[in-house]
Amino acid sequence: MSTRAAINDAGLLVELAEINQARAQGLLTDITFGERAPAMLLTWNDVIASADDLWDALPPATGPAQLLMQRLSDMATPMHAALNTRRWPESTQADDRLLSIADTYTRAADLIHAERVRPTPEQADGIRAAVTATIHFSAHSVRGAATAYVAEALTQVPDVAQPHRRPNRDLIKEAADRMLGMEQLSATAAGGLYGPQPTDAARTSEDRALAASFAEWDVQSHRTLARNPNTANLYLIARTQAAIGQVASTLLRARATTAHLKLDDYATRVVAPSTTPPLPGGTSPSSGEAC
Amino acid sequence: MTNADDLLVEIAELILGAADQVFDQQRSLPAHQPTPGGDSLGLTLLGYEAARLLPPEQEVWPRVVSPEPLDQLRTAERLTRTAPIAKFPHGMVGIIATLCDEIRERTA
Repeated sequence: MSTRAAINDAGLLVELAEINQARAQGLLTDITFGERAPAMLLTWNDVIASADDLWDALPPATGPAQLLMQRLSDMATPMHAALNTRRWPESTQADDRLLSIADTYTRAADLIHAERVRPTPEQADGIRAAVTATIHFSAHSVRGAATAYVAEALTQVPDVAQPHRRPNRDLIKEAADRMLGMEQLSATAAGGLYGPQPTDAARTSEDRALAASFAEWDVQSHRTLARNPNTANLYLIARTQAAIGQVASTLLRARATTAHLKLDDYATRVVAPSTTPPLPGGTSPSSGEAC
Repeated sequence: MTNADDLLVEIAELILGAADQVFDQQRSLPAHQPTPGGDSLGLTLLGYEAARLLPPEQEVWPRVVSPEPLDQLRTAERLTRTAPIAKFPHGMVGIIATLCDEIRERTA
């Protein structure tokens, strides 16, 4: 292969990274993942090791991005060691879906090491973005699987004849906590999930902040209605009110079911009034009353 | 507006459309009875979180292309795969992960 052809083929790396991202996105919608948790946890370190290899093979990133994979690797390696040295069923197989992600990264890194492709800095940025997204999706899936596994284990009767047939629940719970750290780190690298985290000061005054926000929203919606009572604003205000009603209703239901609120009061003062039929052609008045 | 921004508008609108559909289903049930397939609140928040990634002047309206909310969400998820992640605004990874969670929970 000529050098020119090799450079042009670097687009293949971008494609491989995007294929892996699509694979990881597919993991997120897998509804059977609880039972796959042990296999996924067992394979996780392979994914991180291969991604780290590819990351290092690319032209250097600027800023803290260069350290991302190293930090993830520092977190994944001890978890893997802990899983392998403690009670763990020998029959556990690797997860083939995560393995194929790891294999693809290894193949991509090999292409660069063998100088068969030479990605430009722009291509390297695109590959890093796809790798970061892949790691985040995969970490989210593995943690979700581990959490589902723990929840399922709570409802199962222990197998007395074969107590070690399934991995220990506490071990999986511990691994799920470690996975959360890796998931959050990859989310931060990918641009955050929902913006910056609230500060401690904001957290301690959240009740007041919530009340102030509601008051501010109420005043603003009245001003908006006085100034621009058009369909768009009416629609938005009605939908926001309905959302507030839904939140209040969900919180009240949760309080009633956890005995923080008298069930009788909940049934007669909250549920009963809201079962009245909605006004014809309008938003249900109950959604506003509920809050 | 880039091509990815246009896609994001469509994605946000489909999610908000699905939220409206689930909300309408909820209205037809007694208040204490959970809607099969989940609440509309998570979808509403997700739709607006997606819209928040767009320029402030960009309008986003609920759009319905299918009678089933789950189909709407699947269409939105398919759209997320049609552009490289680096082309979307920062924060898109979280939107995709939450969208997939919503799909999984409503499929289960």
